[in-house]
Amino acid sequence: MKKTKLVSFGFCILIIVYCVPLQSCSKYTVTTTQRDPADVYYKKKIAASYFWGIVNKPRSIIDTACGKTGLSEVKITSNIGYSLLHVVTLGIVHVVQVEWKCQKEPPVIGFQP
Amino acid sequence: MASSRIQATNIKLLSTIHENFKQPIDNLFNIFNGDNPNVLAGYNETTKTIQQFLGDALQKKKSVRALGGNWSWTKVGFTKDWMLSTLRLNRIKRTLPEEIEPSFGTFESDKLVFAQCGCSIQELNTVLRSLGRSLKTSGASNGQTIAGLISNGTHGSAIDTGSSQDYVVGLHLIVGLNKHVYVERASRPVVTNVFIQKIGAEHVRDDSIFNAALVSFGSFGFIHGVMIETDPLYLLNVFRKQMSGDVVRPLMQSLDFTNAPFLPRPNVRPFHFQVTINPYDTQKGYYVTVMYKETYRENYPRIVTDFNKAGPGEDAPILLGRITDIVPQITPLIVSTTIKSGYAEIDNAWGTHGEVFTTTMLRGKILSTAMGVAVENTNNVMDIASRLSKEHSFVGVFSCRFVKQTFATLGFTKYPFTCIAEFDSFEAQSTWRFFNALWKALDDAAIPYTFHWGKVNNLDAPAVRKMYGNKVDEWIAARNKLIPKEMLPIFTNEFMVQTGLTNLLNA
Repeated sequence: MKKTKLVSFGFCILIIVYCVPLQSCSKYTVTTTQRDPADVYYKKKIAASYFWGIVNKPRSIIDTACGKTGLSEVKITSNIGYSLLHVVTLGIVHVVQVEWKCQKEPPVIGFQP
Repeated sequence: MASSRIQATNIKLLSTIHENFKQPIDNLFNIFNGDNPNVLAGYNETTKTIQQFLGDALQKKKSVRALGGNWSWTKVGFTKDWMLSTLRLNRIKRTLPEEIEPSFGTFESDKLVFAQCGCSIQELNTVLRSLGRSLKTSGASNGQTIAGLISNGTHGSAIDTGSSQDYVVGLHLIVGLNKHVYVERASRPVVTNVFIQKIGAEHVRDDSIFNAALVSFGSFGFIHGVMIETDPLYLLNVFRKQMSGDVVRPLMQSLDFTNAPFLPRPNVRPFHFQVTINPYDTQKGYYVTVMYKETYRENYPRIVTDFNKAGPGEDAPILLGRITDIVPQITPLIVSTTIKSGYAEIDNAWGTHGEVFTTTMLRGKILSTAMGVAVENTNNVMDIASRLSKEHSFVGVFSCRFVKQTFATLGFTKYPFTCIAEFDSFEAQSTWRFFNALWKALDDAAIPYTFHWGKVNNLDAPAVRKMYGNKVDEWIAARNKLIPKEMLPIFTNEFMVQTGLTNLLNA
C-alpha cells in the first residue's frame, strides 16, 4: 500500500474511532403535531426481543402514569453495541432503548368561581 | 375528587431540553392540579399546595426553582436543590367585566386571560384561537411555558410589539408560606378587587416591583398565574427570500422601511423582520423573512408541512461537531447544505400566529448564544462575527431579529430598538472558540451589548453591572421589598450569586 493511501486510511480510522463510540446507530422519534409533554425528562426502558421475536422482555411497556391523555412522544434508539449483539447472536438477541413522555391533559378553561 | 398534589420523582441529575449540560439536584418534583372543575377553585387549591411546598423548603433549607419547558441553555433557571416541574399546571381563567378596571378601557371578551404558569405556548395558541384571540408574539417555537417564556425575556421578532413579557399585565406570585401577591403596575392598573378576592392574594400595585418581576427567572417567588393581554385573532402573511446584502444591510441598521421597494410589499413596515446569514456564502444574499399582519379570515391557504422530507437525525449535531473539529475545511460545505434545507424560500404563505410559530422538533445537542445590541450596531456586530467565523471555522449561521424596548428592568432587549444577534451551532470546540472570540471582540470594540439570559453566555457580576448599570440595584431592591427576608434564600440560585444579583452595590 502506498504511503498516501496508508495515511488516508489511518485518517479515516481515526475519524471513525473518534466519532462513533459516543453515537447511537439510529434514533427515531414518533410524535404528533399536538405534542405537548407533561414530563420534563424521558422515561426509559431497555426492550429486548429473543429468538427472532418469540420472546419479548418486557412483553409490553405500559406506563400507568400517563392517564387518559396517553403518550406525547416515543423515541427508539439503537447503538453500536446493540447492533453488534444482534449480529453476533445471529438475531437471537435484539435490544433497543425506548424512551417516552406522557402528554399533558388539556387545560381547564372557564370564567368562574 | 383528586386534590392538588406534589410528587417527588427522585431524579438527581437534570439536563436542559438541548442537553447542553447536566445539573446535579437534590430532587425533581412534579406538581399536579386537582380535578376540581371550577377553574379558580382548583387554581386556589394549587396555590395552597405550593405554599406548603415552600414551607417544607424553608424548614429543610432548600432553594427552589420552578421549571417550565426546560428550554433555556443556561443555569439561570436551575438550582442544586429542589426543582418543581410546572408543566401540568395549565388552567386558564377567562376574565369578566367586573374583574377589570374601567380605566383599562372598554371591556373586550378575552382581551385579558389569566393563565396558570405551566400553560405551554402551544396550549395558549390553541385555546386563544378557539376564543378568536391570539398571543401578540412569542419565540420561534411553542414548547415553552408562559411563565418560562417571560421569565427569560423570550422575544420573537415582531418589531413594534416587543418581547413576550411586554404583553403581561399582572403576575400572581407565591412568595412565602403565608404570603401570595398579585402584582401589577400602579400606572396601569388592570384588575379590580373582585378578581383579587377570587384568588385570595394581596394586591400590590407598584411599577418598580412589577417591571422587575417580569424578567426574573424564578427569583421573585413562584409565578403561579400570569394575566396576559391578547390581540384579536390575526393572520400572518409570510415571505422568505434571499436578497442582496447591499439592500438588506441598511434596513438591519435602521429598521427604516420607507425606502425598501424590493420587499414583497414595497416600502411597508412589516410586523416581523428577520435576517439569517450564511457567513460562508454572502454572495448569494441574506435570507430575509418578513411577515405582514392581517385581519383573520377563514379562507386562507394553510401552511402545509412536509413531514416525509429527509432531515438531520438527533445525533447529527454532535457527529458533525466532531468531524468539523477534525476537518475544519468542510465547515463551509456543511453550513451551506444545512442552511439550504432549513431556510427554503417561502412565497406568500399564510397562517395564524400559532400556525407560523409552531412545534420545533429539537435535534440533539445544539448550542446558541444571543446578544442584544442597539440596532445601529447590527452590521458592525455581523461584520465582526463574519470575520471570526472564518478564523474559527464556526459551524453555524447568524440570525438577526428585532424588537422594540422592553419594560422589564432586566430585560435584555433594553435598547430603543434591539437587534438580537443570534449564533446557532452545536457542541463543538470550534463553537466555543467562536463564542469566546466574539464576546471578547465586542468588548474590545466597545460595542455595548446584553446577553439573552436563557442562552449560552459568560455572565458574571461585573458584566451584569456593565450591561445594566443602576437597573441591577433597582431590580434587587424591588426583590428585597417584595419577598419576606426568610424566603430570599429559597428563591436564590447559584446563577444569581455568580452574577451578583443578590447584593446591592452599596449595601
